Amino acid sequence: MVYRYGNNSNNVLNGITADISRGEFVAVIGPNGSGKSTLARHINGLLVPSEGQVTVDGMDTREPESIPEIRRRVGFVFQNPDNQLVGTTVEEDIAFGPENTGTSPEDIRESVDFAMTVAGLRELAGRPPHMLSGGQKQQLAIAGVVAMKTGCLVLDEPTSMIGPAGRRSVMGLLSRLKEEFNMTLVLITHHMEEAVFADRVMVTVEGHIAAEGTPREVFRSTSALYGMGLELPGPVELSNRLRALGLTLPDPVLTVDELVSCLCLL
Amino acid sequence: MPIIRMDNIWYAYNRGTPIQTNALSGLSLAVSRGSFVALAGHTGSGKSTVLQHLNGLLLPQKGRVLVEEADTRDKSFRRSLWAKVGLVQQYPERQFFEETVFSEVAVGPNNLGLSPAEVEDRVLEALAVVGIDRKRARETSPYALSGGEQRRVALASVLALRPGVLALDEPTAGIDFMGRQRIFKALADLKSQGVTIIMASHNMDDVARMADRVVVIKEGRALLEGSPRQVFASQGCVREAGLNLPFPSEVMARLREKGFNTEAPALTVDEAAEEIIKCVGARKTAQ
Amino acid sequence: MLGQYLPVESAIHRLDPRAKLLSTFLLIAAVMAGGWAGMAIGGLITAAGVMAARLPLGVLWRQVRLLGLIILASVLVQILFTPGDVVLSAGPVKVTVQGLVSGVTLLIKILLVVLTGIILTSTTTSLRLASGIELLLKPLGRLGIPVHEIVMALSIAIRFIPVITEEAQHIINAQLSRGVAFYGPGLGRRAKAVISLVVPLLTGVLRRSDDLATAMEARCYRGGAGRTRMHAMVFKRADVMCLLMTGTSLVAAVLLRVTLGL
Repeated sequence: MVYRYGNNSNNVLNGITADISRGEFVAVIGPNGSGKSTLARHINGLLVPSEGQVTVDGMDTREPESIPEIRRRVGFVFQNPDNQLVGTTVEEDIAFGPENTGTSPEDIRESVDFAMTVAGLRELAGRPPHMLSGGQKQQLAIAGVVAMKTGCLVLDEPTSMIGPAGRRSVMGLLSRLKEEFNMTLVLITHHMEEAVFADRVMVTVEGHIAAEGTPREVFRSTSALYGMGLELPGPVELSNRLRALGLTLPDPVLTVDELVSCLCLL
Repeated sequence: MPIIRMDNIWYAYNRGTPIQTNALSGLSLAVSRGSFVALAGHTGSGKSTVLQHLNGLLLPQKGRVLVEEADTRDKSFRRSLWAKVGLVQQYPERQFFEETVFSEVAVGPNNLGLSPAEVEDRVLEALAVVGIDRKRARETSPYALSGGEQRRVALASVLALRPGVLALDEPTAGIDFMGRQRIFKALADLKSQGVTIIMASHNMDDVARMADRVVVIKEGRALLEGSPRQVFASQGCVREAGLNLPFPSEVMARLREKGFNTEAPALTVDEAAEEIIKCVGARKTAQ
Repeated sequence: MLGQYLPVESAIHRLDPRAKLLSTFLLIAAVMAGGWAGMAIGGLITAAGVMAARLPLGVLWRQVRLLGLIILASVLVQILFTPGDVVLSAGPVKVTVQGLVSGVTLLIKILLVVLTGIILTSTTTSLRLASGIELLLKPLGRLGIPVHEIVMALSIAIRFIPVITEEAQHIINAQLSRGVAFYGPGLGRRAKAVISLVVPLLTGVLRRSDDLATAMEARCYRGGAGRTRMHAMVFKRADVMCLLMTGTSLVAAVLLRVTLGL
């Protein structure tokens, strides 16, 4: 698929072809302006391709009548935690999605309670959003999607505006959604240490996919990733350095745990 | 003589209401001239409130703040304080209102009442520090720039005041890798020119890399203070404040738990690599 | 902040928003249409409401104080410009008995109206308030008025008041840090200061509303048609009691004024 704003401007996305399977966790990384957010917005039909097509469970995003159903299946969490919350309290905000799809009051109540439990927000049910921390706001945004029982969740840099503690809780929640509910996750991020936990990593550069594979393939020292001006996950960088200094270590080493146990075996 | 001193500062928002929140509870702090001090704390620890006390936006409800020995509660002193302590808030690009980058950066110097020639000098100097092209600056709206460039223009708009002290709140929040490198390069240049820098941050890798003094803040109090090496040696304290260790220190701490004989809390990847090679060598000889 | 929701548990918080809205109107009508008796009854009910809603007096005072200038000005106008028997004069300024009486009456009435409003807004979240208004106004929908959309826009505006207020403070701080003078002499400088606040604030609001519209779209929002609510609204005993009490007070206030002149 190809995407451009208006007719005569440059292509923001320049020939992207990709499949995402049910239950898969895909991380999309790339420098600012490489088109990764634009790509994300195609998955639930917020944007439609200028050329080519995007299908969700076989439904074409270019067909307006499919859009409501597509959005029931693909939830979306945005970068700015403030600008996506509608409700005046945690509970009301989570209810917003189910209310839009015409669910009965009893079922809404049940979904909201379920989502609050999953996201760990029960104690905050009556709290107005502006009195939550950044991390809690993003947990709330995710809970709003959980309450809609979508099978897929797309997140556009959800942790770029929040602190390390908030980041940990958001990532913890994501792994829970994947493990317990087999949710399909597409995570746009510029934090490399988050990408390491994905099943598959896509690297976008100037509107196309410049590298793709498992984290192990993408972060290997022979990968096309090097020289794209991207940061490396700390363990990858350190282990590359150590290998250059003569230690025998696997290529790549992705996490601190892995690095420590490799070093202990030397 | 410290350039900034805070003595037992207390500050609460919405004081006297049911939603009163205590931001600072008896915080003390001294910053010596020319140093780079990091205020390390998680969101809501009170570090932004500290910064707003430095240039007189907030006044302590109890205690006092001295900048170059003068009390910020002194009204006539406060009138000139904004130019002495330059404050760059979080997401400072949200302040833009001028039509071009150049005039945006000129706002501060113009308010100092300088001559047009002097204003131009300062604007060009500030743009050079942050690496924004001067020709583009005259033609482009600040809103037309990329996120990283906007952040640097906002930084320049404070640098154009030529403040002796620069206070920054999460200067790299939401900025990508390359953008972060450029901001840190600008800060390093400023430090070498003798500017005192105070940076609030929750990113300990940034802190380890830039600061020569770290103050860990938790619930409006200074929990721990020292050089990055001292501070990151006390992992318990850092974790208690809701922070991570810098990645290299984290690795060394984990290796120590596994019986590696190393005391140094590495601050950079190079240091960690060097120390690990040393340890692995020693272990091999011992076996 | 005026009209901010206060998240505590209370009997008033639990009332149906429609009951609260109607009761507020009835109470205000009683105060405005009644005489001294109306004010007394209104005062009693308002005081009871404040207690039942568990509103701290400090919060009330701060909210009322925000309107202090407007209240004071309107009361002064009443006192100074009502003709009648002069009791005090200093140069051209004359204070009359009638002026004092109507000034005091106005002060009490305004205070009661403001207080009832505060009880309503601090015990009802804007979304609940909006659904209440929407249900009450539903008949207007038949006339082709987009009730749901108007109410949704209003409730979102209310939800964003604290966010925008914070943003405004953030921008003011940024401009103060660059020496922009919001206070002090010089009309030109002050005008510039206002621009330095308004331009970034508007830009921010536009960006936010754009983001929010996209986010709502992503959450399947398509206007009022086919929408349901988590809180199905059913009148309970407490709601009926509340309406009866305020309704009676209106009738009593009007009757007492008309028949006994109280």
